[in-house]
Amino acid sequence: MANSLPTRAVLTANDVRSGDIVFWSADGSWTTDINDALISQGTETAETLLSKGQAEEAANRVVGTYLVALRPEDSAGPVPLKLRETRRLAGPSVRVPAAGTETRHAA
Amino acid sequence: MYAYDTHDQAFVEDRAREFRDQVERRLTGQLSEEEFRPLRLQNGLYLQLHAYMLRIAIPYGELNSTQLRKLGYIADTYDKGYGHFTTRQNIQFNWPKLIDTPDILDHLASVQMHAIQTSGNCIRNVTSDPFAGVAADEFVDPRPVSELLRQWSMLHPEFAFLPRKFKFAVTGAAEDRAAMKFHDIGIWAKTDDSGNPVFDLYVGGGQGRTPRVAKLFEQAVALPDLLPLLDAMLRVYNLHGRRDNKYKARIKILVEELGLENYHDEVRAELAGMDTAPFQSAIDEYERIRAQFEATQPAMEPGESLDLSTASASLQAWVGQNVAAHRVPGWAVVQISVKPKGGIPGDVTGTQMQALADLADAFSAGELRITHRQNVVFPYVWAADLPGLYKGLQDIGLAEDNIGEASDIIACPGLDYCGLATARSIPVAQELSTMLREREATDALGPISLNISGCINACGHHHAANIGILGLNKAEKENYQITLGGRSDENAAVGEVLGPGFDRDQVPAAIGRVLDTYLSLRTAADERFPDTYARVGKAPFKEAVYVGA
Repeated sequence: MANSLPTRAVLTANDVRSGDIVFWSADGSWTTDINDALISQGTETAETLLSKGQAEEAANRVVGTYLVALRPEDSAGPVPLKLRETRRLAGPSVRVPAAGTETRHAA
Repeated sequence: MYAYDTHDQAFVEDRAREFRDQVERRLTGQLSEEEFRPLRLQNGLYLQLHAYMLRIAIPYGELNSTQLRKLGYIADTYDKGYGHFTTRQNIQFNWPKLIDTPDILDHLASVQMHAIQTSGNCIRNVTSDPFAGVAADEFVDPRPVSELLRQWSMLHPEFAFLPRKFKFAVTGAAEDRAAMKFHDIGIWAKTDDSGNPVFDLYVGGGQGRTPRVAKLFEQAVALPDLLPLLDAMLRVYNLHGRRDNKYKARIKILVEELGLENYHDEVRAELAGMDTAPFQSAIDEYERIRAQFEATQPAMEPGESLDLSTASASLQAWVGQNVAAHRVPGWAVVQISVKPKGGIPGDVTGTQMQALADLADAFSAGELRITHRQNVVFPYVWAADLPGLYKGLQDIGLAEDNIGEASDIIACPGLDYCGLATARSIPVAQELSTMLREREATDALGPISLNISGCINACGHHHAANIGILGLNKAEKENYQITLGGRSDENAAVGEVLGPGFDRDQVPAAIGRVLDTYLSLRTAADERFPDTYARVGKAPFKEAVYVGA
């Protein structure tokens, strides 16, 4: 199992109640900001993070935990390796209106 | 339109209460996610790329203004102010919180709506012709049989855990506007010599990674025989469908592996052993439903068509492009494009939903339809009211005159929202619609369907489009494959892959060259794109796109 784990990664999930994307932070709680996420260095810490994720799922705080592989350390901040994770982190690339405040598609 | 009876109403209220209890148990830890997941999916609640997503059923695409107003309220109160009309004539909200979904389901139940069977391996929302009941070319109103199917399939105990999801479409007109042959079972309602409804059944159609056009199963099935036969068709599929491999689990694969004739024989053998007596009540129920549709249809006295000779050019263009023939002279079927130039296909804001509901009350007897092309239809518009309706639509940015044109693009949510997607669909649609609206102003391209899917699952119906685009992930980079020659009408065909895919920024130019080639090869202005393609084949298009680039 250790061989398939990314060497540099963050633990992510969705908050059970809100569905928000969250990351496991260095201070031992969930954060919505990847820049505050605890980054694993090597497969051993990746395994520890995964175990933490399973415990957090069992405690019903989050759902769907997994590791997001990151680009090498010389990248500016934690940057996902995969296209899907890049898009997930960035949010929709199309404009989302604020609730009740505008008419989408207005001429 | 159909209104719930006390049984229907009690049922959806019970289900909403049940889901509230399930959510509470999830939040208190009595249910694990593994236990809760099938329960939430049975109520249309997915976990997508960014958040939960709630898909709400709109049976055969028909809504009243009260229901649309409620959807607008939900968008503004519980979501981010907008919703997305889907290719199954449903609506989905992209950002609901789990803690809010019990309240949302209560709101839906209060207007005779729910989210049941919009997910999972069950019979999904039955889709139909958005012109049902008013189409000039209609043989039989498909809504009564669609509603009968809804009731038959709702929590059908045998068909709640099929090998894979199962999709019905029903049409009853000469022109297939429901993509009936791209469904697991397609039903084409007609009339016999005595004027009674009869049904041609097609089986084994579908899209995804194995696109197939449905094959004719039986013709002129009489109403009393319809439900028993459908039940037998599902039973044989349920028994023999490939549960070992989800990619081979749809009925199209079973029909192909068994052969149509053998599948037919098995169904007839199953039917011969069935007790069909319980189905006899369906005949009375069909009549009850049909009578209700008829009684609630607004009175439409024939009148004169609208004289547009002094109307503005923009109103003339909109009427010419977006208004379809109504079965009653002097009335109009109005198609409202949810595909503005550079806009997001099928997305409407809560504000627009409220305004559309008001316009439906003012101009369409309070009724409207959602189409599988992600647009809206007003079925009961008095021709003299067209200018007033047009003005109202202009005020909310929904007066684009492009129905049926290439810029009337179908697009799935793609990698902007969907957890299964491999590439984005929406930005490609936006760029193309900007390019195409400019071209359509000068080039008279005529009707062309252009559909985009963000993965091989083909929710954007790319296989069924004259011009299809499939977004893929190629070495962690978005890549777009073009297919040509597909069509979803009564002459349904699967599009052919043109060649290697393109980077996203190359797509508009490639589509432009496809259109240039069509214009140069068509024999007359009324030779449609798929007819030109069928006549000349892929080669000239391929040469123009790859060699001439």
